[in-house]
Amino acid sequence: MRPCEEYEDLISAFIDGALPEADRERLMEHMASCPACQAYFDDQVAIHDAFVRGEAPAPERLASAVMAQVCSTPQRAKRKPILLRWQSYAALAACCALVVLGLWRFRNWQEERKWEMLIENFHQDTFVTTADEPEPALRCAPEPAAVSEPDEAPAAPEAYALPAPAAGAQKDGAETAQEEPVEEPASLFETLPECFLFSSGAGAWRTELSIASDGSFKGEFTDANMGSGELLYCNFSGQFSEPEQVSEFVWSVTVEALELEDTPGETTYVKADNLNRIASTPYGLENAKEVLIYLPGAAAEDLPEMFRSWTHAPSEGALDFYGLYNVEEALGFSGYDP
Amino acid sequence: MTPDELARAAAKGDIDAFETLLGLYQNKVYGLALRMCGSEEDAWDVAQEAFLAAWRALPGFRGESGFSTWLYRLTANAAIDCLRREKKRRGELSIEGGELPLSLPDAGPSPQEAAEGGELRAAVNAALARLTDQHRTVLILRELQELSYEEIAGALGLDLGTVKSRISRARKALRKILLEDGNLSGYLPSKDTEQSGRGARRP
Repeated sequence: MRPCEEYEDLISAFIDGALPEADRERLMEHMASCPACQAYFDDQVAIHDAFVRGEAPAPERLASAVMAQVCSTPQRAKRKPILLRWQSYAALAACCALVVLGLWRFRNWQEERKWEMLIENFHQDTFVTTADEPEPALRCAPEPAAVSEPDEAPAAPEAYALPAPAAGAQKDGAETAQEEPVEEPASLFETLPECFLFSSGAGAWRTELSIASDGSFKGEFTDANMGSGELLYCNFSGQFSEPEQVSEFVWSVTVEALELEDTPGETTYVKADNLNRIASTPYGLENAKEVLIYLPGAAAEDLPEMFRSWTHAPSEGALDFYGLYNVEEALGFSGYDP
Repeated sequence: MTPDELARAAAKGDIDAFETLLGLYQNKVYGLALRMCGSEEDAWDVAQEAFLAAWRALPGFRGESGFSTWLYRLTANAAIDCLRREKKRRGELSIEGGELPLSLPDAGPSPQEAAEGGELRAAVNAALARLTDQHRTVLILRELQELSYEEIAGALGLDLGTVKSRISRARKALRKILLEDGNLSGYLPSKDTEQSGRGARRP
């Protein structure tokens, strides 16, 4: 960045009333000795003042034209709600359900869907989900099976091993979904690669994510802290919203539900491997609200710098893989088919 | 009822609640569409498309970003799609950087405006139409629709840092056009001038 480019950014922030006091002093000091920046400042203030603001009144007939269409347009069916889009009233039900979850977690996807439908009866669907709030599951998660049967613990990642079981899951998920009224059978999710990977490429950690055709997802974070006798892990699952197209190669989904299998911090000693398995958080999707899906062909220069940095995407040209971008945390996943 | 409460009701199929929202936001949505598309005909289509998309998608709307931000996003997306279609029709290969052969609303200064520097107003409006879609969009949202950085980030699906830097770049590009057309009295500093931080003060 050329020296004065930085000040152009400060001037822009100043005009928007978003420049912190310290930067403001720095800017004023600089401008006192830099006529170029002073001129830039004067011009930008003049341009800012020249914008004609205010609302452009909508044509009178717009509202009636919209309403005529609204009356004949059905709303999109709400997605089948999944386990943890519950409000606090459902905490008790969630606790009971999660005891079941502990027993069930190694079973297959189809059983899982049936079970979800069963407990769905408890669910009064609500408008706002609680992705930001501590989920009841985190407080109510059952004792992991591995506590009483430590040797079983290493099997847990297998249950979530990606992508093979997930591939089956996709199929089964799709079959189950056919029982529901599905508006657009050929969804974006069906076109995505089997697996998305979030990793630095240099660390001993990775998060893998698999998205089923109905937008539900499963994932696993692992971080083998070698030599310390600790393995951080997080098995999680959740639901993405119906994708919305942002531009030709960019779609947007929101995280409607995110459920962790075990409460972060829970530690299980696995005798066979002489290590402690410590439940952690879903690094990569943590705090995610909006997730952008980038399709191959997206112009690399339009993609966020942090996405490119995480996925080692080229800085120019077209993206040649599918990507996910956690907007909130500025983290990127890259898709691949193993 | 607040807009978000109305949105919750509309999400459950309450058409009256949706109509109230429509009344509250139609000027904002239409204004954004008009400023982005530049023609009343396109703005009419885009505004309808945005409201209809909102109606259809409301059941899945989570309410975290606020209804207005979400609606802005639908509008901006519909407008960008519209511009893209328009450019394809004109056979342009590049999505970005094309000039819009249209006059933006409010382009003509009133006699009073002319007396108060309305020439610059007209020039700014005309120059705005010559920015890239990306730059024009952020400036319209910031300067004309007066959205906050956070709202723009929500509306465009960008992170805050990108919003700030894109607005700054857009302003720089706008000034460059105005300078080249002789609508500003400043001068373009040379690279050396900028680097040394010294230069002749303009008259």
